Amino acid sequence: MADDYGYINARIKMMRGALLEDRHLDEAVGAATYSEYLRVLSETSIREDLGDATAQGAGLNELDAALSQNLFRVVRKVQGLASGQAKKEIDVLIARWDLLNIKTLVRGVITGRSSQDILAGLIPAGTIKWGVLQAAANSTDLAGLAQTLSIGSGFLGRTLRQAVSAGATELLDIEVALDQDYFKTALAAARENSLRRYLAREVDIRNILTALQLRGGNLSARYFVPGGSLNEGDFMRIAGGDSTVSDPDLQRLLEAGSLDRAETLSRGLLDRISRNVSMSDVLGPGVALDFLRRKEVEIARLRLIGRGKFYGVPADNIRQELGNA
Amino acid sequence: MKKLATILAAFALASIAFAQEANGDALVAGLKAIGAGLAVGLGAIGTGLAQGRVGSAAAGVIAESPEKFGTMLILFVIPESLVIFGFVGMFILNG
Repeated sequence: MADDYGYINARIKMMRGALLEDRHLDEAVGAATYSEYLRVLSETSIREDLGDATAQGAGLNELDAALSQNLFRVVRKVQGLASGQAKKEIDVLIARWDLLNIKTLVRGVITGRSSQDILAGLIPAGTIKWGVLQAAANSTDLAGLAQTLSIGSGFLGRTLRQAVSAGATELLDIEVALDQDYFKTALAAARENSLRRYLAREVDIRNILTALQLRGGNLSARYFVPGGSLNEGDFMRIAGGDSTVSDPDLQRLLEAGSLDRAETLSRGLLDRISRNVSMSDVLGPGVALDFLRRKEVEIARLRLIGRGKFYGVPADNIRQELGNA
Repeated sequence: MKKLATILAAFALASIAFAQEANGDALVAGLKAIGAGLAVGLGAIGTGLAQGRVGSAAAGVIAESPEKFGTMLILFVIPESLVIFGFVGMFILNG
């Protein structure tokens, strides 16, 4: 069977068993030195990608490269397991990193950051080749960035080019154009109801965060992303200052108090939903969705702990940062 | 699955209709034969469906952890009991 999630999910669940357990992370946070932290890593599944990170004189660049390599390898493996319709759905999940990377590039170029800074913020997963992302990070303006990404960057590269050609120069305009196209494509590719439900919930969260961002400024329905349970009227109402929605989870985001806090809550909410989907949809894409999220979080946490250990930040402060991340 | 059930039901009803033309003993023998056939056939279909799913998941597990081959083999053969029950039913019916 081309779309056999039984086989794919069995493999992914076995891979999930190789993710770092809480005790490994605790051990890493509690490591006395940076080299002790690397020793903890060398006793986990990350060890095969550590490479130069453990060499004498190696620093954070080598650690970042090792963790990136691990994430890249695992994501490619998941992508290689699927075929047929399952591949379309898993590709859509992986294209999420394309969306994040393109947003990072746009943000970096608009704010005039150096190519090194931009590259450091990119996630080495997704479908766009690393060489294309590196070339894009060297762009000096939006037109150049759009031109570089228009080839070899899938549908999102084309979306960016269209948005820039249409005269979009504001970060939010471009981000919303990318979101609108991503979710439209993702919802069209999602055959499974569980994946559609997850994506719809993500659209709702995106709309709430955008509406909160727009409060007190330029209200416009063009920033609304269709596909969720909230409609354009709800979006405009929330952007206008109203903080009531019927869904209790979304209500919590509106009552968060600040945009940062709402973003943190939304990450937790999406983690919880993806875990529920993974448990309730054992023969669907939910298992892959949850695994990819967990893997990304694992790498982000290891990166954060590594930085903390390298600069000698106390363990309690690192734990606090991990809790806020 | 629905189609399969419809086809089986049609065969069973057609057999009964033909059997009604025969005398009482022949009718009983015919119904027993149909029952025995259904016992083995449905058991085998159930086994096939279950083993298809178990087998693909087991293949995935073994691909990641070859040391789990033994456990997966046991899980894979458990649905065989369905067809064995069918066989037992068939022998009881043919008594």
